[in-house]
Amino acid sequence: MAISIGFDIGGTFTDFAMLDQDDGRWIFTKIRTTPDDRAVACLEGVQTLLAEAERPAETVNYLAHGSTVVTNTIIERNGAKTALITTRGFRDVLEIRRQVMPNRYDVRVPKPQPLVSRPLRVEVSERVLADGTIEQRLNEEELHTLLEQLKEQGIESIAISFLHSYANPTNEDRALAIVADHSDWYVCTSHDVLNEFREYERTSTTVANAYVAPPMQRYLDRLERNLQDQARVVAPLLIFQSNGGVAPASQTKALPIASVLSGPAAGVMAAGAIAKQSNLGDFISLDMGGTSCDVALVKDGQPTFAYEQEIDGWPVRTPRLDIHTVGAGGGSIAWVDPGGLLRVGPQSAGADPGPASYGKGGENVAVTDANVVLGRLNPGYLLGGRMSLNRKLADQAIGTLAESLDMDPIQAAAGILDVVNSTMVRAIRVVSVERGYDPREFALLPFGGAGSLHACDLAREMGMREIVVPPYPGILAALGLLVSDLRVDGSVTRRLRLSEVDEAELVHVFRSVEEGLRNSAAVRTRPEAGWWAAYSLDMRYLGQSFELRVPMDVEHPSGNSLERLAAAFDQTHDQIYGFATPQAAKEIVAFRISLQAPSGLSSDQLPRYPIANGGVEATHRPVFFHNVGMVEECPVFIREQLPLGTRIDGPAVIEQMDTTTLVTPDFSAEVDPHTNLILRPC
Amino acid sequence: MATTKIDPAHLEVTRNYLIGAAEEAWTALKRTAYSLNIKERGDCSAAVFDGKGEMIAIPPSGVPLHQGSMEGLVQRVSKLYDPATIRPGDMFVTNDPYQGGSTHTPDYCVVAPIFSSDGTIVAHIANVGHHADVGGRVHCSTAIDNESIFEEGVLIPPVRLCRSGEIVQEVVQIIRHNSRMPTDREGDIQAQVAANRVGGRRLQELVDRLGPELFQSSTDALLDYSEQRLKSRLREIPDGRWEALDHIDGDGVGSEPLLVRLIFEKRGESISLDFTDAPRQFKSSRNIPPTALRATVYTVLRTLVDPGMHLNGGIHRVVKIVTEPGTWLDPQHPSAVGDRAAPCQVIGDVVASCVGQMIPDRMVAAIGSYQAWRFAGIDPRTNQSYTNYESVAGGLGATTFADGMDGVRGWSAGSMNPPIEAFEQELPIIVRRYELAIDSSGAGKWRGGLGMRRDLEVRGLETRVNTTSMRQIISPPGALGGQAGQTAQFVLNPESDREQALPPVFTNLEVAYGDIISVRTPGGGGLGNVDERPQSMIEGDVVDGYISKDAACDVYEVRLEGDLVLREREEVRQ
Repeated sequence: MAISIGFDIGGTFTDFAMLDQDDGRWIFTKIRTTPDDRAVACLEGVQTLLAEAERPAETVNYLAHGSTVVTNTIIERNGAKTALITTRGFRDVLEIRRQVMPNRYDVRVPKPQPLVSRPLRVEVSERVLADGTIEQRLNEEELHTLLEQLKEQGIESIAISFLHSYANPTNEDRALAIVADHSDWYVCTSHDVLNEFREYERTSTTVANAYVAPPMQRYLDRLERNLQDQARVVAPLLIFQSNGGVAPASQTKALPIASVLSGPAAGVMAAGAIAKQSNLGDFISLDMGGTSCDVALVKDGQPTFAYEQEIDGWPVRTPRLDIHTVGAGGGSIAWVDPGGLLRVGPQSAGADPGPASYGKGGENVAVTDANVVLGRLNPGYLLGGRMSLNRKLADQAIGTLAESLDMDPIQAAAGILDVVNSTMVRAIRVVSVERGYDPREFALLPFGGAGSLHACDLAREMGMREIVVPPYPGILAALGLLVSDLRVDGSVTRRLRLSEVDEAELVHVFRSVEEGLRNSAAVRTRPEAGWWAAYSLDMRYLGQSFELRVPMDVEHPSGNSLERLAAAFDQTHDQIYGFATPQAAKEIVAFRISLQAPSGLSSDQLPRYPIANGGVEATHRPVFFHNVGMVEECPVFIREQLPLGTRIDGPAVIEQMDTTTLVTPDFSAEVDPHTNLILRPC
Repeated sequence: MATTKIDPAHLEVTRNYLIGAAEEAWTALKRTAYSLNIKERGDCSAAVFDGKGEMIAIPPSGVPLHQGSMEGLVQRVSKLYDPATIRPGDMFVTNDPYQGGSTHTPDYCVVAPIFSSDGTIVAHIANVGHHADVGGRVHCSTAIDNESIFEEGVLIPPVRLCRSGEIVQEVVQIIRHNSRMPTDREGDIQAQVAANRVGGRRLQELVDRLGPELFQSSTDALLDYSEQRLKSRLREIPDGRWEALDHIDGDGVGSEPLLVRLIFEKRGESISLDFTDAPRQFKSSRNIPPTALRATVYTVLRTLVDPGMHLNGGIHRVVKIVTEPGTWLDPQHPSAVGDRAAPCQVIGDVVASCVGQMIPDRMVAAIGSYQAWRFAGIDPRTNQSYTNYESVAGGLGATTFADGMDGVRGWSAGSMNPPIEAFEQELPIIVRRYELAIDSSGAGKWRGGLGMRRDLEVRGLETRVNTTSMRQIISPPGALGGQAGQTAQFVLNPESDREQALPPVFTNLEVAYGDIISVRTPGGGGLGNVDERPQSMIEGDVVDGYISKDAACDVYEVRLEGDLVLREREEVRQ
């Protein structure tokens, strides 16, 4: 007997997914998140699942968890009291940032408070130069004195960040050894956390890591203890990371910042498994919820990666899925700006009071209200009838807005959808067109509560030919935890001219980074997991500052790897920026490796939508469609009633508990063998 | 008003799209550029213009001063060249501030027309990048004692940079050949072309989809929208006429400090700014061309009157700027203008002072101007000559609700600092200190932002340094009883027996290998009386090291017991 459980903490709810591998039975549940101690809801949910499945806790052999603890700790500023030890003369690097205002045209938006206050940013004599030369060795006496002083400050955690440590980590390593010797504070060095140049971004990432480490360790210790002692679950806990993989909890305790992006990334991984089931390698996922919309691109089954992100104004650069987030959700507020434009978002009405139609006293018109007024959302069928919307309040609110715009209410509601869709279209462009991909060659995979309501309009706008609506669009984050592989990433900055290296040298650098990764907590706790490595280089034309990633086959040196790297780089540059200069000198800047090992479920184990026996019965209601107008007798179907192979031509609405799929008149829908709804232009 | 009524939802969708197109161009430029200044400091901007050359959309990512660049360029091109000879795939380049191109010669502007299917030009995509050296008398092309534009580098009038999609190599060669950093020039120009191609493709898609008529009525409506939005904000504000006086440090080549006077009038739905009472144009490069003046005025209005403003040509219909030709704020060809950005900081302050009188809760004290320095010499690591520059931010002025921000660029200045690690990789310079400058801010109920101190050790040979500076003689004034911020300082070999104070601005100062050259930028002015500052905030500043204990006692008239701040006056009262 074997049970897999995944649970993901969101702002409002913690979502749970469980598969009983013996009978293929899936159970999903939701528990209100417990912000005071998020481990409480986790324990409760796991116990609920086991009770419902009537299985003993020992049968759980796979347990994966995604959480927003790292992000929340930074946003809520309740991390550890942290000190920063840095090169003499540079303690303000963190506070000066890039010397620009957070919002260039608004003095009301303040600079965020550094995670380490100024008195706790201390300087020590040492200096490494740009080429890695040690100009001055670490002054150990100074460091000892500083540590004595810090002891009196009651700190819990230390970040060490020295200039040019990516080029030579000796001084940082020595400082690390001394700190570790001196106390049991958590301590990390900048070259371990982010082995790349640009001191502000590296220091910020390192400080964020040190700041969240003690609370994250305590949280995970508590959670592991609760699960073992109270739920009697003995399976080792895996933690989802920003890179789309899972790692043993011990790895996360050592490097918590790698798990900063969780739910949205897990959703993309689940979407990937669903697409794979249908042999679909290229798609764009669109997770539209209440306040925001997360968009990501997957090519050949591989999600794309990004390295720049900010958490509450602080750069946190760890490998993460390239997910572009925009403020477009069901709760996004529509408003008239002083110049008479119809704007939507980025403010959201949230869940309380929520859109006007929630009937909780909210007076804001939200995207959900527009969908109600246009007949797209069934006011009585949200969450399978567990929640209802007030049509009259939606009409009133839109009516008032329409009046101030001098439009009729239907036109105004349709306009709200146009505007919110244009925000999502821009997000789709960012991950596709701006990265050199043609969206017309990709399918759209909408999920979240509202994705499939907007999917046809977005696909039409982008020229996309296929939409895949998965069986349970509301639980993809929890599902993603169960399909993700083990993964750890490593990198090193080495600036080398491509014309001056040979293949053996590249392989040698890769091997040295790989050795470090193989010593990580993740690999050491799972040595037999069947790890495999993927290698890539960050390259640029000599003189540029931003790099493009080019893969390299290190396992099978071909003898002409350098020519192939050069050609692949030129091609990528041309694809993204529209030009290449093959004759220009090329430079390698960073070596990147990811080690991965299979761990999650295979895609044939994914949940299917339960189809009831009993025939299809459509009801009808008026629904508005762009370019067509109000369709008075638009058929409305219940998803459970649609057997495999059913084909429905638009216009139509397909309702299910956690979402509504709109099939516009120019699309048709079909239920595929995996119970996905496939929508295509007809 | 546009003749066709444009649906407000369609207009927002279009606005969103146009900003996106310009942003794509900006990103491509930054990511493919070669020079430190564009790729790491982001000293570049991109914008969309309509068929007639009126600016339609500019994303907030660029540098505010560049808003003035590019305006007027399209009009100039169509005067110089028969529009019938302009083809799809053509691009034009210029760096001449007197030809509608840029605000000083290092800014190369590149503009590309976008055609509709019927062959008319309905839009333009344009971008501008600050090239660190475009030739001229001294390295980095800008020096305070340049007497005319002819000393400020090669002057490229609007000429074709691309013909039907192909780069005109002759022009690139001229630009290359006239720079001390030819490889960077070629790479940056190529990046500017690529940026317009990326943004242009996006713009073309919209033009094709909407068709020429709807596209044009949409861009017209966007101009109306920006006009209406600002007007509606102005209707909430009482009418009046205000004056602000301040000083610049002088013309930079020997004069005493000079008066800056602004008469600001708000009447109904419009604003006029009268700068006519100004000294004659300078025999230095501190003149401000009208494009830079306008960009500065708009930046302050946007920041203090309506941060949500959609900046475009529609604003011209609401804001009138009056200058006297032949003065330093309306200099005539061939006056030098290279140093225009530093005095623009003071212009920003007088505009802000008037806005603060007009809208009392938006009062802001003067900002600490940034200082810039430019280096040239031989890099012993490569035995090649190099030249580059950077600017170091001061502190912002205090507002009516918060302390001024420490160490950030203000008003129309906006490029970032280079990462120290990138700077040291590329230049024979070692950064020895980079920190907030203690006691540099103006005291008050709200204190000004701190300026910064940056020390550089010269590791090149035959090194020469030029500077740009402001607020080094006249300190940034406080507001509503707040005190002035500290002035800027340049020092050679500080805290050593070879210490030497340097003048505010200088050209071709020779410094030796191993010398340390140090700058302290000015702090922002304070706002409100010092005795209204809560004791806890004074304590916090002392603990954090933003003000020294001595300064706290002197300026705030308090006594310190350990970390506790006690007010003398209150003790007396007790």
